[in-house]
Amino acid sequence: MNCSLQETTSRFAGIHLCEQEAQLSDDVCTIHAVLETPRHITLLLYADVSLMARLAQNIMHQEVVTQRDIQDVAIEYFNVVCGRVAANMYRAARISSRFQTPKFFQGCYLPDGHPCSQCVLNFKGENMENVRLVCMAGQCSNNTSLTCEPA
Amino acid sequence: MLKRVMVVDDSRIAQLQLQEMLAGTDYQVVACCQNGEEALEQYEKVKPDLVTMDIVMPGIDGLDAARLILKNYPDARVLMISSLAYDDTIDEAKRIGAKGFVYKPFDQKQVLDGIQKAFA
Repeated sequence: MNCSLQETTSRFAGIHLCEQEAQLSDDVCTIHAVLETPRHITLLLYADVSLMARLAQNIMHQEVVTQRDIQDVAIEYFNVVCGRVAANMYRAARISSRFQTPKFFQGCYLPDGHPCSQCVLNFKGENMENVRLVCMAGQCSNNTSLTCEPA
Repeated sequence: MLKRVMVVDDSRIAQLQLQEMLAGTDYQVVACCQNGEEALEQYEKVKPDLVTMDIVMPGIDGLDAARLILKNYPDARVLMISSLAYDDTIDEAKRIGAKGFVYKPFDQKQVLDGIQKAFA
């Protein structure tokens, strides 16, 4: 999963992420998707908005980006990450999965419910931006309401 | 003469990337659709030479949209461009009759290679 995120970020926007302890800033966003497998897998990406802005600048080749640009780029970026995770999961375990277009939220969010298991990976960008990828296997569904939690 | 391309992708960013990559080439984006339903409707009106089709979209997904377009228009050329790229989806795309598969994230060369193969 760490390779999926690092490779995608590098190929998608030429930004390199290094796996290391990260402390999310106050200005963070969340992107959320659910892999529909027999046991639903929730993927959450928490990222400093500054990193998502840099991603949008690189992808759109423009210095000034709007909030909408950041949101649209973040969703497409995570769509690609989820696709890569799904492909790796199929190769490793022959589990086929589908997912809906990821959803974007301002702030740091956690789905309701108690996952059976959880994996958390932390990364930093070249400009010390923070990223956290959380993978939860369990009862969460795509319709799960999201509740706010401090970063 | 420029070949006419219809882009089907719910992402504005992917649409922009494809438009940018095809600008100045032998291909021209003549329509962009955000989902499968819109693609079915637009195909009839636009009759493009090629459709680039994402898979993960709200409503009718790209595989079903491609299936329906190819059922109604067996001569249609559909090139899948998606992040959901593994044996299962690639095999299904082939079964449906798609002309190829480009993985996201893509670069200009990969897109042009995929399109050229679709026309070969």
